[in-house]
Amino acid sequence: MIEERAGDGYDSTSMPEIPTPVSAVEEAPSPSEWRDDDICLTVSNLCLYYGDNEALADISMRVARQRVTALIGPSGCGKSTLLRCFNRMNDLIDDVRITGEIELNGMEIHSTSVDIAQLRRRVGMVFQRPNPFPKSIYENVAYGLRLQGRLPKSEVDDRVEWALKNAALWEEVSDRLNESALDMSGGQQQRLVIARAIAVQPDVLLLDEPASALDPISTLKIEELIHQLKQDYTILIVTHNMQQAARVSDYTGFLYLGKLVEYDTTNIIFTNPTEKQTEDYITGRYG
Amino acid sequence: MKEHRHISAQFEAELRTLEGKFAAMGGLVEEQVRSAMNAFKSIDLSLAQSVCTRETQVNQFEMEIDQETTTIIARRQPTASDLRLLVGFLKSSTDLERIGDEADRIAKVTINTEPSSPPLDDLRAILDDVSTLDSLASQMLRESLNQFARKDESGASATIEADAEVDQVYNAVIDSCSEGMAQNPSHVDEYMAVIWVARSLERIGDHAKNIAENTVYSVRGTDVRHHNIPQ
Repeated sequence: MIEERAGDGYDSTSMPEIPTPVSAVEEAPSPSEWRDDDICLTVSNLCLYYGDNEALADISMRVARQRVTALIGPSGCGKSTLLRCFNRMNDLIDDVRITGEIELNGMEIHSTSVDIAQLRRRVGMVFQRPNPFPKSIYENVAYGLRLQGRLPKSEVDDRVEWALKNAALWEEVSDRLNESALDMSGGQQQRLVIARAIAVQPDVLLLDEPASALDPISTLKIEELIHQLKQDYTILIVTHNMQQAARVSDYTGFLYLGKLVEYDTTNIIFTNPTEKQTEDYITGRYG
Repeated sequence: MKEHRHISAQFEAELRTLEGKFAAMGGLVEEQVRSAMNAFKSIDLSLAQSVCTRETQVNQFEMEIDQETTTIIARRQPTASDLRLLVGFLKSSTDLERIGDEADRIAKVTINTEPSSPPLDDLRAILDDVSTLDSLASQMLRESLNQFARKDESGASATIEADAEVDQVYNAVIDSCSEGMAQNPSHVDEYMAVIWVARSLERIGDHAKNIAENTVYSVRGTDVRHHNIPQ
């Protein structure tokens, strides 16, 4: 029988190649698999004190380049404080003491040779409440560019258009660039603030609860924007909304009482976390 | 490790209700297998008929568990152990429903087979093996359900191993039936009936093994199926 079929051209070795099925979910490599050039930020033994109060306790973590890293945890766990360390926003608060190191692409950001204005250009930040300046839409985006020195008008125009397009806002505002930014909706204002942050082409974007003041549709637009932006930027996001962290991030860090309890791929954290504290937090249990 | 309660009492209650419903479905399916085998052994046609009638209740349970689990996933967006538990309900209720189908099949074999009297000697010996198969498969089912309820993953690992013994006895029954049919061709129907029943019991063992694998997954988060696929 088999010989006859072989004679008919049947050959088990010539089965058609079945393409390897692609995964329905994006799989980010485990932090243990990162190579050196995958890493944008390295935090080593970071401690932060407000007076005698220890707000961050010996945090060490690395942040992957062109990925979205979410920081989650209950109120007061230190997640926003940690986020603000990356562009030294905590320097503005009296009585703050920081030990440990943070390297941005190999540069220690606390070094005396670092120009803070320059650091904040490279590490942009967006806050919970959209905070456009009381100026036109155009001027809001051009503002950071003008701080960099005089640029020809045509170049500023190009950069404003580029930033608004990348912030998924261009189509909605291209015919009213000279209108006040304060007349925009909350969701539009937040995307405008993101456009302002990316206009100066930073390396890192810090997002502190960027969608918590927005309605669900505007929230989804911001989340989609985050997904688009990670192709060019390293993004760190602090969020109270765990489902949002699960939707937008590649990596998730869980902070509790100033400690980084667990840090892994978002897929692992939300399906099978290692630490009991993480499990209790994300499943909504009494700790 | 002590499991804390959810802050949302309503979510906690939904999960406990679903656990109760799954346990009730498990109890019903166990009873269906027991009744189907009793009907087969004692050629009790009315008992066999009642198994077939009750089969719709098993299907009803499966549909309710699927629907309620889907609703909880949509409304609560469960994560980690909660998510794995709900996936465990979805998959295990499918296995329970299939076990119900096998009980129904055994009952139909009883209804459709004309027994000869007196039964052949070798068939009597084979039926002893079928009884052993029944004990082994039923024990696997009972234990897999207890382990799922108690989140007993080490017990579930033992249940997974136990399936090999079921397969062994099943193969012995099939070999004996093949021999018997060759020697007593006029009794092929009776041997075939035994083969169908043995086949159903073997499948029940497979489904109990699946439930045990789901227990390991929902407790530990590891997929222990299919050893031949590299992780």
